[in-house]
Amino acid sequence: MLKYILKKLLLAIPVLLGITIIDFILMNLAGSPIDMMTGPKMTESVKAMRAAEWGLDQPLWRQYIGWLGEILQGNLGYSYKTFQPVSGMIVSHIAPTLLLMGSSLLLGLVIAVPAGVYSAVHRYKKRDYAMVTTSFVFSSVPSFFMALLLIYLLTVKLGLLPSSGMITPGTQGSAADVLRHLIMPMLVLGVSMAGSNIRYVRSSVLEILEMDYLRTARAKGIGRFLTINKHALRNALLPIVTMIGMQIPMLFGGAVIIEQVFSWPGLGLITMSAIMNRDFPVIMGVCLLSAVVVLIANLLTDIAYALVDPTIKY
Amino acid sequence: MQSSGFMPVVRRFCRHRLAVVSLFVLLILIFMAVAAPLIAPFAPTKPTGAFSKGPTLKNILGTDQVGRDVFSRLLYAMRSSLLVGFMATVISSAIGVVLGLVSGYFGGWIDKVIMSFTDMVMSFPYILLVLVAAAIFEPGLWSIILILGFVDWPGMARLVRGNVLSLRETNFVKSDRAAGMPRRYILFSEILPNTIAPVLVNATSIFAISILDEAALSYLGMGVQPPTPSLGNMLGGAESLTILTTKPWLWLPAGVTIIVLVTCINLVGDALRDALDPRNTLR
Amino acid sequence: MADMNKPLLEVRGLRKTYPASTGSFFRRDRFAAVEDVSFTVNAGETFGIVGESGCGKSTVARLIMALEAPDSGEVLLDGQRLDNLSESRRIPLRPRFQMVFQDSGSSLNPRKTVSDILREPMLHHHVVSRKDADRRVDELLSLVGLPAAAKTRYPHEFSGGQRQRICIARALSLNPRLVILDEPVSALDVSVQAQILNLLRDLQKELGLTCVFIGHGLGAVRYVSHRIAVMYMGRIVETGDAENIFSRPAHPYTRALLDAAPVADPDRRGRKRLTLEGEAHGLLTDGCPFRDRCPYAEEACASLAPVLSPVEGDEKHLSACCRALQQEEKSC
Repeated sequence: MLKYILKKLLLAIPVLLGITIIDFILMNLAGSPIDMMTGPKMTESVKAMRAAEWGLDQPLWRQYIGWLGEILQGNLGYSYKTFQPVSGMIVSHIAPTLLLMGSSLLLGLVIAVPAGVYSAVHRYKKRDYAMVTTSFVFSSVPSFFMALLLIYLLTVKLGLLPSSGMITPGTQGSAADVLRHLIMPMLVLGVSMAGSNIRYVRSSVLEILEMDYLRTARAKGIGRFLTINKHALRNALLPIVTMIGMQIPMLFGGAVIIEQVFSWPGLGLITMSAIMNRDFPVIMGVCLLSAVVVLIANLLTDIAYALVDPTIKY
Repeated sequence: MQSSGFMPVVRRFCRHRLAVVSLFVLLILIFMAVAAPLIAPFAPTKPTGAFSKGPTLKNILGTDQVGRDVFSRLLYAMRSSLLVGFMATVISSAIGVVLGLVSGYFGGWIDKVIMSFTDMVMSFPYILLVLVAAAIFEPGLWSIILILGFVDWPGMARLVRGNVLSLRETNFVKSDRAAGMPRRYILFSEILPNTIAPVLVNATSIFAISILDEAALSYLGMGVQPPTPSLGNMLGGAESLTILTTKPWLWLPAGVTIIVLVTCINLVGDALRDALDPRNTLR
Repeated sequence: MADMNKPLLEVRGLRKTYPASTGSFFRRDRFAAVEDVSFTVNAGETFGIVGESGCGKSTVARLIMALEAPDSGEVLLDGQRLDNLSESRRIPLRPRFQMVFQDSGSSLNPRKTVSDILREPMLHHHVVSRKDADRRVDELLSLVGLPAAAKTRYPHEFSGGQRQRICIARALSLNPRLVILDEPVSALDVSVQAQILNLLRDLQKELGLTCVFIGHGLGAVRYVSHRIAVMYMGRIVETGDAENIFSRPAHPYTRALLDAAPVADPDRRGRKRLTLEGEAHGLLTDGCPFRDRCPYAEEACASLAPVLSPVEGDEKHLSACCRALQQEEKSC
């Protein structure tokens, strides 16, 4: 098992390097961050000095090697805009994002698993069609539009929930306060994830329900509930594990937009402003982080697979 | 066994009544978008009357902040959104199919290189990639098409590769090799036609996703730029609280259109998957 | 009838290994699917290969067809080496040797009509002109007992037996010298099996075909073959004329195979049967690979690897057993 994990880790390294290289090239295609600096003090000589200080006057590959060298020493660099260390910015913004992602993932599963199983068990009945159609509608609503609708409904019309931020300004922010702020963004992300997940759970349960060993179980006269719970669900666990793994990059992306709409003070918010300002070190830091997160998610999926499925050799 | 006739597919598709309705709605919407210049009562970028007026007989969906007719803009917006979705789908499908075919058929190091590249693009948070790309290029209709086209292909490439891998092991491909048939014949005459069904189904979901992505990007101001209308940038105005609360005709129609459009595409794609699935015989 | 004594196909010392699931990360163990297999097939005769699933008989077929490359050994068709040619040099020779697969369902492209399936290889190799192709398709279909109307239909519209006929027609379309049939009837119903076997016998007579017929059912192999090789664990354990193998099996494994088949004659039911325990596996590296299942195994079998040697001085009947079968078992 350890060997298997080690092998997967080794395989992830070139992928990670590749991602950062693509990042680096893409970002530099966007143009120099120096162009974004304006102001009376920004004369040509100051600009040139800044460029030299940040190593922007060097060829791209040397910049990349330099960046990589710093990363290996644990230094993510400093923001061009706020001059703060990138690692510090990430650390201070990661908790809200993780909170948002984690709770949305959970909500997505809590909706999708029962709904998907229900749909599969009642397949080709009206209930099933209704459920599948609902799931399609869920995944067809643009997340920002859903956010607008929720804000319109819950904030503007009913005045129930705050529409932006994580804590009420001017307060210390109790857990209840954070929760009130969390509900809408979580709902939007969770529901749009549940959309595709319902169909995923449904089809994996269906596939398993059609297998012979389940027919055998049913023929043995084991009750319907027991059949589904004991035999089907355990094996349906595998695709669900995959589903969670696949969801991580989507969640990360979704969070960027949702954080923007709800001004949720997470990584998405600083990413957007970094992109707007060509704040290279911040962009690279966030990209690296998200790539690592995604690769770890993949690795965990593989390991979970190996643990759940005895037929997989490693 | 896979069935080959066209009619059974149509018959199986028609079993999904909701999908038939969706197809119908979709065709109407596409027709309206294509025929926008003929249908639209006003030019989409010219002021026609009062600013920000609610729906009237003259402007059935009202006017926007600079007095343009919302209904006309909506028609043209559908045009750009559908164009973006369609072109992005074509580009990414083409890339995905070619890479998948090559990767699956030739195998070896070519496969390894292509697949690790695919993994890289896949493990990249999608929106992040799109945003960075959008920041690079001048935002606009064609750059958004290119960005989405060059980002959406990994799923397709994997799908096609998987298909080719299993087709490559079928006896009819082995028979071809035994008969000394050339590689291009095996690839294009035997393997490709058998991957069209899953490719088509996957393309519908790319189509749906592209429309959603265009909307998100344009909403953030990084997609189709005003004054050219798109479903996404029409929603952009709703960020302001007064519009959101007092002028729903400015944002509701565009939002509803996106939902209807994407839902219809998804439902059609789902029915298509069912209809093209070789394991489904008429029940 | 073609000359029965000139070898058309020669297989010498064929060996093929695959990576096993055991071993270390850097060096996977390999197991031999085919180990030192040699035989010849004369023009006009049918050579049968029998053995249980996984004994390597289908691998032999793929190696002869050059669908896979052997680790070592040679395949000669008409005296010409096939295994060491580049694929581009081999392609012109391909029409000379054709194959029919076990699973007729996946042997035909579901999106093509029967006519297209049969025409395309012929046109590619210029076996017929475009003008004559249609007529040739009709001929081929009638040769395998299908109506000409079949050509406009798709594979899924046919039964398994009919599809196998189409596969045979496709194999014959290039006028091959040699046809390799890899378990062509194993997936079919028993009644249909007989029809296909009869068709094969008729085609042998009519066209003077040379065939390698691979099967796991002894009855089918016996019905069509002149000579037979019995394979076990990648090796040929006994080979000889079909009649000799059946009347005087020399290897205990052959005996077991014969005894496993039900006998229709009630008078012979009382005979002593040789049944096998366990399953074939690759754990025995030296000595006789069959010894752990062999009721006659002796200590010597663990150390001595048996080689094919003549049975009772008959040079055409070879068996790879350390000890000749005892006389007392033969009377059954």
